Amino acid sequence: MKNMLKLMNMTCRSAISQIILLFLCVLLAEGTWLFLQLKNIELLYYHDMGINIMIILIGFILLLWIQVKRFTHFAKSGGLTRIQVLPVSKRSFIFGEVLFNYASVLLLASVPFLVWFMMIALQPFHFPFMNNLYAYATLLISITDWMPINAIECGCLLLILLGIAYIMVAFSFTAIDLDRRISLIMVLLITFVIILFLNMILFSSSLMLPYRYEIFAGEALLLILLLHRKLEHAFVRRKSI
Amino acid sequence: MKKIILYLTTSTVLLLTCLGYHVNQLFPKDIPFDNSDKARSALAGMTIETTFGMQDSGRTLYLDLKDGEITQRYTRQSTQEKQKDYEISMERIFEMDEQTKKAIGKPKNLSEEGHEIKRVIPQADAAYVFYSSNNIKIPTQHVKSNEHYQLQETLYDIKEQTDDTSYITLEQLDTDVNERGVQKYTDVLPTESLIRGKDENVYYFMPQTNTQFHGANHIYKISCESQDKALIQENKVKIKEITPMVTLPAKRSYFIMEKVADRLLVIAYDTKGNTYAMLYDEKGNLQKELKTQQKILFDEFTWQNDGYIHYFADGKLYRLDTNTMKLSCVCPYDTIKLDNVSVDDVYYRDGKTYVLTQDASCIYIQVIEHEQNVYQGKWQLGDYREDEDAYYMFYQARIRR
Repeated sequence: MKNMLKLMNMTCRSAISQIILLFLCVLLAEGTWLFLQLKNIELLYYHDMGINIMIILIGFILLLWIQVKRFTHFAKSGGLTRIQVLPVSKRSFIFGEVLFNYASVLLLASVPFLVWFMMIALQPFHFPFMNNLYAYATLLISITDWMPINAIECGCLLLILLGIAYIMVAFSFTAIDLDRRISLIMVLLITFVIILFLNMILFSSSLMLPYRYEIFAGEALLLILLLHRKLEHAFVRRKSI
Repeated sequence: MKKIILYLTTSTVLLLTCLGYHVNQLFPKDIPFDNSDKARSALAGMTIETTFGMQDSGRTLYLDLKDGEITQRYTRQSTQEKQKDYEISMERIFEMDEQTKKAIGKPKNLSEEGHEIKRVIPQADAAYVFYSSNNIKIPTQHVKSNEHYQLQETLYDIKEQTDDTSYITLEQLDTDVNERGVQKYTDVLPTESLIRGKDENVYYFMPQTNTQFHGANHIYKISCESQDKALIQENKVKIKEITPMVTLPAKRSYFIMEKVADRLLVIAYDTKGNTYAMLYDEKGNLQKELKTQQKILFDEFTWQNDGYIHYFADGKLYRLDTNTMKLSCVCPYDTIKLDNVSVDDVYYRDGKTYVLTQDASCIYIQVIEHEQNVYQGKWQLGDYREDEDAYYMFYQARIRR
């Protein structure tokens, strides 16, 4: 654990301020957009989620960019060789990377919640409810449709976010010159295709499965298992070559 | 090192706090209910279900009140589940014979571009009525229009077509013939006219008629082929055959057929002011019949449980017990508080009638026994600002059957 934190201190520290800045920007953008929407509250009752999703998506893409940039910079400065030489488990390096990415993803994922809490707290006069404001507003307004409704769904959401963190780590690894880079790209591609295919089958109208967190979480678990194995394979085995 | 640890813990704690707060606050906390002994004894064994949600929303909140205890749960339903209701559709078609067409003549003054023009067809043996579903036509009766009952044709002027073809559809207008409770007719049949049998592939259907309709009326049995996956996708079923199952007595206007405790209840009127309630089983045998001078209504303000049917008419709440086929008056309006509220549900059990009403923020529960209001309870669900453009909660309350 301590080794992992030491390694993270070495590799990730530089990106923290950038990620926090990104978090604040996304928070501001999302907050402004929701504030504008609240001015015309009817919009919120319809499924008008396009721009809300777009802002979060751009946030995630920028986060990926930051992570990849950080990782390539670290690799170029000979960081990977240093880690090979250091007397620490190489697995803890991968775990450290995943943990740092996961923390960043969690930070970004809290933006919609924070914005929604702020709206309820700062703009209660936009809603007609005098009591149980949070419960009724959340129920009626469609931009909160995706938010989890019980503990199981919360767990599923955390699992999905872990899957996203793994994808980010995998992308970072593909960006540098590793021996097994090609196969990692292949695994990434194959997992994406599998998940796309699974979604097409599961949510096609013949099976009529409802959109459920549990299904997405299962897919995320599949992705995590595949990617984790491959990441270890790609990095840990490098020493022996 | 500290920076990293701080970053990791902050982000994790932040999201977990958000999730925790969100899930905790999802359920309304402030729902006062009078939880006295009187309320408990009055509502013993009853479960009042309240369903919250917007029509298009993917989530529904249920609040249940059972024996004075409130339980809450959330569900997520898929949009596909909701559409399952409309599996079979019936269209009403009016067709004129050639002679009537000639007598009416060609339409004139079809000048307005793209506009539809409505024209009333004069008194005549105007049209033959067909019901059609999935291109299977069942001829039923012919209809005659008079000064009370009018047939109307809608003419669409299609300018682009060179050969003066405007196609004609016939529609029924409002009617003020002596039928009671009959509102506006539309071409798309109300879903209540179609009843799904115990066997999922069998539907029962009765055409609505009024005094202008001539010929025998039937209850039709619609047999469908067993469900095909491809057809379920489109919310359709394939009809095998449509056969008349029961020939209904003549000289009556058939108002509605309803499913009451696995039997078919047909309500009809005649010109002398009598109302008939006929109860058929699913094989088409007449089980009981009631003839009365009293109104029997069956619309969205009719509630049924265990074969008891409740409806409001003539300032009173009536109960039709289909087990014994007896019509009785529960109480006059005055006994129930009905000012500025809408009635959600009426339920009967062990000599007690439960009436659920709601206004924008409260559900009111009233218990009636021997024409006396023995209990009145109030369940305040929400409190709203009285804004003109405020959106009110959409909720429904009912007693669990």
